Formats: sequence, C-alpha cells, structure tokens
Amino acid sequence: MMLSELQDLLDIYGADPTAWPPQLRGAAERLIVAEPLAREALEKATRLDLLLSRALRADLAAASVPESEAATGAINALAAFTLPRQGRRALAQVRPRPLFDLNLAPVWPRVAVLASVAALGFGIGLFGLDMNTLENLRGAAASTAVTDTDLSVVAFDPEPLTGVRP
Amino acid sequence: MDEASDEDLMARIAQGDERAFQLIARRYAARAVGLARRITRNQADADEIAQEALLRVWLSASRWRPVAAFRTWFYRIVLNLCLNRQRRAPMLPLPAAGDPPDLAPDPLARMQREEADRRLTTAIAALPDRQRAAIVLTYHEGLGNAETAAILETSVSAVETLLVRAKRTLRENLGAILDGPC
Repeated sequence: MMLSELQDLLDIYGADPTAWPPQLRGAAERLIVAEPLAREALEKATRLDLLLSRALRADLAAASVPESEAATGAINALAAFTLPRQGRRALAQVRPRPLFDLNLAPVWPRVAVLASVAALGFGIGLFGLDMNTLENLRGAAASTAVTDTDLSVVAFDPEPLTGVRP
Repeated sequence: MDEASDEDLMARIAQGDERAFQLIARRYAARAVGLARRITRNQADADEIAQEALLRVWLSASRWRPVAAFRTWFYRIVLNLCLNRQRRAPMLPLPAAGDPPDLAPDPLARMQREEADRRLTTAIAALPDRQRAAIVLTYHEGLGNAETAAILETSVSAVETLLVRAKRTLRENLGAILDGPC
C-alpha cells in the first residue's frame, strides 16, 4: 500500500482500524509500522476525528435553544393546527393494493430498453424500409428499361454489316 | 403503539392516523432539528425545516414504500430542504450564541480547545454543501457510507470522494492544530 492510499483509507473510513475493510487493514497496518509518515498520517487522522466529533457536539451545545426544546416546539407547532389533507392520487384509490405495492424499480432499465427497441422497430417499419424500397424500385425500373432496349436491339434491328433482319 | 416500528407507524399514517404521526414526530423531531442546524448553521431555519420535513412525512405517507429505512428517507427530506434553503440564502458563518461552557481545568488548554473548535467549525461551514452534509452525517449521525450515499442520493464511491475532499480541505485549514494535543 502506498502512503496516498493510506491517506484515502483514513479519510474514507476514519482513524479507527476496526472500521477499515478487512482486505485493506493488514496492508495498512504494515505500512503504519514500517513508515514514519504513515504513523504521522494516522495520528493526524485520529486528532481530526476527535475534533470533528467534539466540534459538532459543541456546536449544538452553543445553540441558544436546546435541540430537544426546539424539537418540542416543532411538534407543538404541528399539533397546534389541523393537519392538511394527505396527498392521495385518485388512481391510487382504485388500483388493487398488491399491484400498487409492486416494486418495479429494478426492472425499469430493461423495460426502457425494450420500449426503445420497439419504438425503433416501429419507426423503421413506418419510414425506413419504405423509402429504401421506393429507391430500389426506381433503380430496378431503370435497369429493366436498359435491358429491354438492349434486347430489342438484339431481337429486331438489322445486322450492321449485312442489313439482314433476324 | 409506542413500541411500533417506524414502518408500522408509516402504514398507519398513510391511513390518516394522526396519533401515529405524533409518535413518529416525537421520535424524529430532535434528530431533524439537530441535522438541520448542523447543515444550515441557523437555528430559525433549522426549526422551520424540521416542521416542514415532518409535515411532508404526513403528506407523503401514502406514497412512501419501505424499500429503505424510514430514517434514510426522512434524513433525505431534511437534507434536501436544507440544501434548497441554502441555495436561496447563504448560511451564517457562526451561531450567534456564545461558546459552550468548558470544564477543562487548565485555562491555556481550554483556550486551545476553544480555538481548535472555532477554527474547525468555521472550516466545516466553509465546505461545499454536499461535502459538509457527508461530514455531518458521518460524524454526528454516525452513519456508514452506504446510508450516507442513500440519503445524498448518490453512490458510495461518490460519498467516499466527498469525504476525501472534505477532510483534505479541513486538514489544510486546520494546519498546526492537528499537530498538537486535542
């Protein structure tokens, strides 16, 4: 493990080794034993963790209204007026409950892909192939005309040298 | 009903049970106020956000599905309200109230602690919103990276990046404070 990787580990999981992923812990501990800069990084991370926990607690203690008192105020404020009507969609009232509770979230990407492919197929069916077919028909008609002309020359025109008609 | 799980209470709230709503409000109001205060750094805003978050629980209960813990969903509401409010109005750098009483016997040590706390509080307040949210959720609420990611509606690796960047900034701002005793 490199020193920068240890620093990332400390930043992500904190300075407590028990919180580190097991697969990284051994390498991190070996680096800390072997490398003075790694030990320094661990010490700084430990101090930062302590300071962060303490500062966030002290921050709240400094508030002029205690958290519990403010919470009581919020609850009382909500209790003081009639709660508004809850949001219920009309469709939700008539839908069968088991169907309503189905969790389709994991299927959505597949449904989206299927819908896209279906839309693409529909579009090609409507426009893409028709345009190509028209072009092909025009091309085929032109080539047929040339072929007909050539055939009539061979079949009905006189021989250029003898003038004999076939 | 006091021992009912959050999920049971939410099912009752979805049916319009006001008593269940009062119970869940009592369970989570203090947490909402605490989280909102740490994010917004403003008491009045935090109190309003807590009320609004609880009201949204009442209004949206019929649409809530227990695919994740209620706490995660509720914290997400609180956090989104905090971030929306901060986009409209910048936060206050420090609370107006005085410092908390410190019982440390040594005046010099007490002064050093207060200075360290003050600088760290200022440094946390100066972090970008999402980095500050990641720090608060991790260090005050004690949440793991996965739950923090669910609340922030992002991936675990994105939360890890937020934490790395936030702590790098904090280390730079704190400087020598991290070299001395806490």
